[in-house]
Amino acid sequence: MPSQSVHHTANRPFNYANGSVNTANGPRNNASGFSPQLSHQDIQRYSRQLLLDCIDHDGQLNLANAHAVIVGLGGLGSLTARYLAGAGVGNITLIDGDTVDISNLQRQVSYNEMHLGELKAKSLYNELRKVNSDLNIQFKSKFADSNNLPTLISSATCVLDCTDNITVRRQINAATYRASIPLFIAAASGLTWQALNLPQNSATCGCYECLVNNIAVREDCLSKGVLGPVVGMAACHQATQALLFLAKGFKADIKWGHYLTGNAGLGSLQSFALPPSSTCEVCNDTN
Amino acid sequence: MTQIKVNVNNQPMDVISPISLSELIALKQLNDDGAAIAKNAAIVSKKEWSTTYLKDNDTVDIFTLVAGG
Repeated sequence: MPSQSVHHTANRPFNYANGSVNTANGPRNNASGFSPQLSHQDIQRYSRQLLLDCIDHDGQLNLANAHAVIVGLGGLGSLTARYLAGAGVGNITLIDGDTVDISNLQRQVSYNEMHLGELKAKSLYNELRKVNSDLNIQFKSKFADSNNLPTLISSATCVLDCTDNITVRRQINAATYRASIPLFIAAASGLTWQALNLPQNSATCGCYECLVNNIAVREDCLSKGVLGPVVGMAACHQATQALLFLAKGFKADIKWGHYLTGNAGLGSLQSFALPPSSTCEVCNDTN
Repeated sequence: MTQIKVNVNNQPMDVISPISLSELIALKQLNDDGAAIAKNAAIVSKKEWSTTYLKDNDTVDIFTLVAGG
């Protein structure tokens, strides 16, 4: 829970600042005939997580009203999307212009040999529809960039950065910061997994640009390799953080603005605060 | 000039103060390729490494950023 004030309530059916459901604006998800009460089928479907205080009845309704935009549908995005769909996030947008390659199957667990050559966004859309047909799932078979991101994320409750290159990651950070949309970042390479939750409107938390500016970040799994479950660890953490936020808003018991770095071989995990940098071109851009 | 003790990636190290993060990296020939630095568990932006000075008993963590997915 951040100490800073937050302003994420405009045009959203759930007040993410104070954690209350606002049904006055109506639901985003009409596919299952949403009402302020869960249906008997919903209670059965989500029974295991409804038992958790961090989700409960109101949190489940908030999940149904939420909109998660997932950018990148590889090892991270294909798994986080599966968990968000399973948990009942009512509106999910899947974004990736890539196709399924046989080298993906080692770690991108939502795809199989039947998907080879297909667009990832469409393949994943079809798989998630089998998981939860109640949801409003959209897919965009295009690569995100600084030009299309403002439109792609405009109605998002939160964005999940599941991409695999530093250029797009910086663009996603800038776009979400300018729109004050919370951002959940995860990454993996070798046996290392890392993650960062950013409120994107805080005077006390830095942004991704504060972290990576002037640093030649190791970019992808192609040159350095990665073990499949290590990407999964990053994705599971990212999905957990996003679900807790989507259920309870800024009242969720999650840590903002701390960079996690884990070594899956040693089983070690470190957490470092990320304060704003006075020289950051994103944080300090008032235009 | 004063000798101070710092802890770098869980290893105790004696250095001469004043010393900045940039100077520490150079002095110890530490690999900063793709690296981020946290001083006392708070990340220091790379642009501020040369103006961030260490004190006695400071903790420094140097770790490699990754961006794969």
